[in-house]
Amino acid sequence: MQLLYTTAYIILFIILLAVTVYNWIYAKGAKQAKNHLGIELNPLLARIVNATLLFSMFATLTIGVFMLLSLKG
Amino acid sequence: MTLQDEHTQTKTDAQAFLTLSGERILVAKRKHWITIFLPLGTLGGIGLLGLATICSLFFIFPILRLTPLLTAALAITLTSLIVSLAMQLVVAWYFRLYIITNHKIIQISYTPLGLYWSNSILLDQVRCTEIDIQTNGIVNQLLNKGNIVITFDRPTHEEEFILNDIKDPRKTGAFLADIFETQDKEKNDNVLYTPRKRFFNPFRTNIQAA
Repeated sequence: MQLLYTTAYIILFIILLAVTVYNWIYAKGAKQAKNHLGIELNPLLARIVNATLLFSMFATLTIGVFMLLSLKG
Repeated sequence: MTLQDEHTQTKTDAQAFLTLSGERILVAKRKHWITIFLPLGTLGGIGLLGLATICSLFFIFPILRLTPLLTAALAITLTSLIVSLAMQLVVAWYFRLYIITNHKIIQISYTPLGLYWSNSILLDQVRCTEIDIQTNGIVNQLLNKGNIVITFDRPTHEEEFILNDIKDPRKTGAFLADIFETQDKEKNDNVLYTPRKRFFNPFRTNIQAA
């Protein structure tokens, strides 16, 4: 049962890591839209993009801690 | 001659697309803000359904032996996915613009890491034959949202340019009709030589020749 939990945590961690990396690149692309498109992202939208990135980073860290706890336990 | 400055931010953004000399923005619009509510609502619904399923797995089916930590981990992962998708929807909406200047019509769509396309039509190369305004349904009537279909008569085929789901379509359509009519008049006035039509007049007599 413990192995099953650990596997589940590892899968969730990998998913969240991928989401975080994607969000990070996406946020970078959205902020550099001025170079590509000539339009700057709205300050409110820029905050939303940053908040989303921070949330996914927080989620990845949390699941990472859960995964480590599961591996130890 | 411009519409009321209700979309000042959009017009400021649209300044980046002025390339020709003497070009100025007449209309710059994004899709109506309500258009992102349906996909966001669907996404929210899917998220809530997913969270409810995770909670029910924890509380109703204890035989699965989901620990509180694993339940929390599943909920956090799902929330993160949903929030990321919602953010992308909003950014994609923001980077979709319809710009009409006195020289061209441009439609732009940009998604970071995804697609970029722009469709522009030079107004001095085409003749506008029709401007249709469409508002379907009571919701769109109440929200003052609709489409404007601009039909151009090209030498080989007819081309349609559709401004989808924009705010205040009637006013914008009437404004565009005024612009195109003025431009057509200017085009006709600029014709340097127009051959006269000669008709045979049987009652006209050439007295001097007689």
